Amino acid sequence: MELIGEVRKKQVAAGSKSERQAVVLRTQDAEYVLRIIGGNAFHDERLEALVGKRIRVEGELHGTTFLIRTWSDE
Amino acid sequence: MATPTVDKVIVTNGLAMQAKYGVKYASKIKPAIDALIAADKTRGMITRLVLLDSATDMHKLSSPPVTNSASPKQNKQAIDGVYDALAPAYLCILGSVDIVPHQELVNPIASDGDPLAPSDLPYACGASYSKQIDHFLQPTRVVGRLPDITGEPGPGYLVGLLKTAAVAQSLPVSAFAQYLGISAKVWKASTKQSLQNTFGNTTDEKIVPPDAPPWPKIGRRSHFINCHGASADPQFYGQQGNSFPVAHAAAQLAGLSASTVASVECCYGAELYDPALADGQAGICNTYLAAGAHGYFGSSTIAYGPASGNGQADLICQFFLKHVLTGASTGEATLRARLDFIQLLSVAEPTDLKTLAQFNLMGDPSLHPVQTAVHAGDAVVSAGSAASTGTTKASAHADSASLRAASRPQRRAHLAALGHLIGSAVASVDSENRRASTGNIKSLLESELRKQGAAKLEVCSFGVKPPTAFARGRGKAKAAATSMGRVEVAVGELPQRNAPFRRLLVVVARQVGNATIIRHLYSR
Repeated sequence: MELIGEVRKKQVAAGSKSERQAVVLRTQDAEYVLRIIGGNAFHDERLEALVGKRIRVEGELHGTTFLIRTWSDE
Repeated sequence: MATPTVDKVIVTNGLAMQAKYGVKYASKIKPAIDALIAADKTRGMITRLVLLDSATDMHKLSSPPVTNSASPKQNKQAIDGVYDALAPAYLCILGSVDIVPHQELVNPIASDGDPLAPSDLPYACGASYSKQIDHFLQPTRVVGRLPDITGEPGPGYLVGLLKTAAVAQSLPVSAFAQYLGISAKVWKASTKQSLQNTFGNTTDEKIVPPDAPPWPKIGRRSHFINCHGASADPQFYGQQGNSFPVAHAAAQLAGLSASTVASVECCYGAELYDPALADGQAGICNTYLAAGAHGYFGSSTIAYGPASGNGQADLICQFFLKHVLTGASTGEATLRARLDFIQLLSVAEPTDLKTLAQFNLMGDPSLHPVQTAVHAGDAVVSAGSAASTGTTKASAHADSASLRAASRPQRRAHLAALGHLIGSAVASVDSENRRASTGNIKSLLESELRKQGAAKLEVCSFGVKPPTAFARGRGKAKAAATSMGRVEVAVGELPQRNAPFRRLLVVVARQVGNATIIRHLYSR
């Protein structure tokens, strides 16, 4: 599936053992934690470089995480 | 005709198996199930396979068959029926969540990103179907899951796990005395405490960073892991500041010993995800079991623990491993870990409820990784020989397996009674009774946040259900129970100033009579 949205950083899993600053995609309707398939779930420089941009991503939605196969600037 | 005694029931869904594996269900998997049943028989255990979707099988047990394999409600009702009819000492769910689903329990703190806490806990409870975790505070059944791989149609994996269960043998406790302990650096003190409590020493704690896999001591049979984890991710992570190096990886588990037992605190540590979501790499849980692990205790979702010391995930994982080390089956260790955890709670708060729901056993629950100690003179004598000969010499069995098997019915009855008693003694937040806090208590909690310099994120209020033990009681005890009022929870964000990552402060307030009890909890 494909999504389009703005990339931001946001604290997720508040108060848990996975509390962290995650890179999220805010779409028109919802917000998803982003992860590149095969990448580090907690810190990925490729995602950090996308913060502040509006992008198109292709991949799989798994719960509240969007697993990215490919991405491009929108 | 009386139903013969059944020690272990394997439940699965025949149609879902056939849809997943085609003819290989009958040609590969069914024979492996039969081999496990035969192996159990040689171990003195009567095992029966029940197809939850079989109208014929289920009718014989006066149970409703599953007509929609994805329905948690149907599966819960069917398994309850099977359990009520056969009362097995062990209930083994065969297959992953695409064969027999987890129960979809509602997470009372869904703002953490998990709307649900997928769980096998309800299958371990006699309470009827519900999505509320607080309805399942009285676990009484010994349950585990022997999972295949979600979405993967090759039968080899599940055949391998069935073979592992069939050939499993208990080992002396000395085989489990040395451990592999892995901790994120930020939680090293908590992990040290857990290892000390479980093994009596902390000498082998590996701290990530600076330590890193592959682990030379991965062949040790006891594993305790307290790291970060993420959904659909075949890796766990350490942490130092904003660095999250890989601490454990499914692709780096070569050297795991058969009969390993793992207790894993990590978020999503036992999530049964489809490997297609991770470049084809199955999760660490699935990979441990493929390597011959006898039990893997882990979480389906985001897990919790306190800032320092032990709490929630730390405790339930310790309890599981400690019971395994005393010779309990992995299933009994799971039930006892749940009961130990519930017993510690005076009021089950939202993170407690999620902890109870999210930790599940993966593996055949009837396996005893550790041999039970046999005391001199202990023996099992069949009634016939004792009665006819008046002596214990003729057919006495003094091995630990015989002693364990002979005492199992009484042990199960005791555990069931404990489950009812312990669960009925704990008050719990009522997740269906949640609202925004108001009035003086809201002001008090906001004041507590301000004292710590924390920015308010949420202040909410839960109703409290008194212990069910008092439901029909009278007098002071009931009055004390019902005066628990509400649990008020404030969540605030602490300044990042000296912290390596952003941190939250949770202030929990409970009103008891004229007093207000306040606790300050800090995020990991």
